[in-house]
Amino acid sequence: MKKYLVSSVVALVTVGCSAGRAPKAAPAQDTAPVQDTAPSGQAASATGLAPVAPADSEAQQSPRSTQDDAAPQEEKRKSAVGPEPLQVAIDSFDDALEPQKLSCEGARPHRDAICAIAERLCELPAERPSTTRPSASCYDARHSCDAAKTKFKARCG
Amino acid sequence: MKSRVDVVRRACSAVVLLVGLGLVGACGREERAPAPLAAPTMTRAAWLEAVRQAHAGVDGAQSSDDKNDALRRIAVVLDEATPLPEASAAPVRQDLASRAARLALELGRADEARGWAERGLALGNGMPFFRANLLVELADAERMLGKNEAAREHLVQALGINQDLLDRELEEP
Repeated sequence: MKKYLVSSVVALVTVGCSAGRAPKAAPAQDTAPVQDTAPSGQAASATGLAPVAPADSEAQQSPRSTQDDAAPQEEKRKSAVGPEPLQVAIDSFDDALEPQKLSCEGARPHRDAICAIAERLCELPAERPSTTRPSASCYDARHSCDAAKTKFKARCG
Repeated sequence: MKSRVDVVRRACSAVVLLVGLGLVGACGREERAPAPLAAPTMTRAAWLEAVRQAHAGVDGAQSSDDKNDALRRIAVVLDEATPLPEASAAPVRQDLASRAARLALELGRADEARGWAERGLALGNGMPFFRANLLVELADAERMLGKNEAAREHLVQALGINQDLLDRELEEP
């Protein structure tokens, strides 16, 4: 009888509380995961919104691991035959993107900002006319502007 | 004998039932306890739409009234708890704070502009480019308030950030 009582209580404890802690389904609009990291460089849109991209689920990752296992054999086969059409497509995509042009477009706003800030620094009046600091910071900033222009021209023409 | 067993079995069942009810009650209380007292946050889509509208308000602002409306709209978005992870939301908020600071400068309200810029900078590192913009706005506000040394320091800092970003963009792959 004791056995009956104890086993019933244990069963209730196990089933009762663990069922209560089962994770709830997320609301529909919150199911799409958002990339946790902020975008690097200046790839942000005009509004500065971070790109929203779905993260890999376990279901998506598991087939990848099987592909990884088969990768060495696959590579041997590929090297014997020559470049795969996929690789050719990736290469031509990279060529079409013109990464150098992209980085020049990304660099341009920084070059312009450096020179605009330099102008602002040189326009600032000194709080204490005796100090040499304003002219020094103006000189440094102008030098930075020139250096930025030179660097940009050397790389981007 | 059989009737005694029945009585004991019924008593045990009653005890099990009572313990079970107690557990259900306890588990329910445990789940209800951490219920948030604050109002539920916006959905991601609604928040992003509010951000988009705030930017559109600034883009289309011509008159002082338009600019004040745009500022109010930005304030609403920045006051609202974001449903996005902080790392994703920080640059968005910094960009909005930067635009608000610029609007306040255009309206000739240097104190308010400084407040917006400081609010944006207080959001953390976010995105360096937006941080540099906020420093420039802060410098403009300080200059308007006659604090040229403070303005100079912010501008030098903003220049350094842009130099780093330029170097990063132009470094050889």
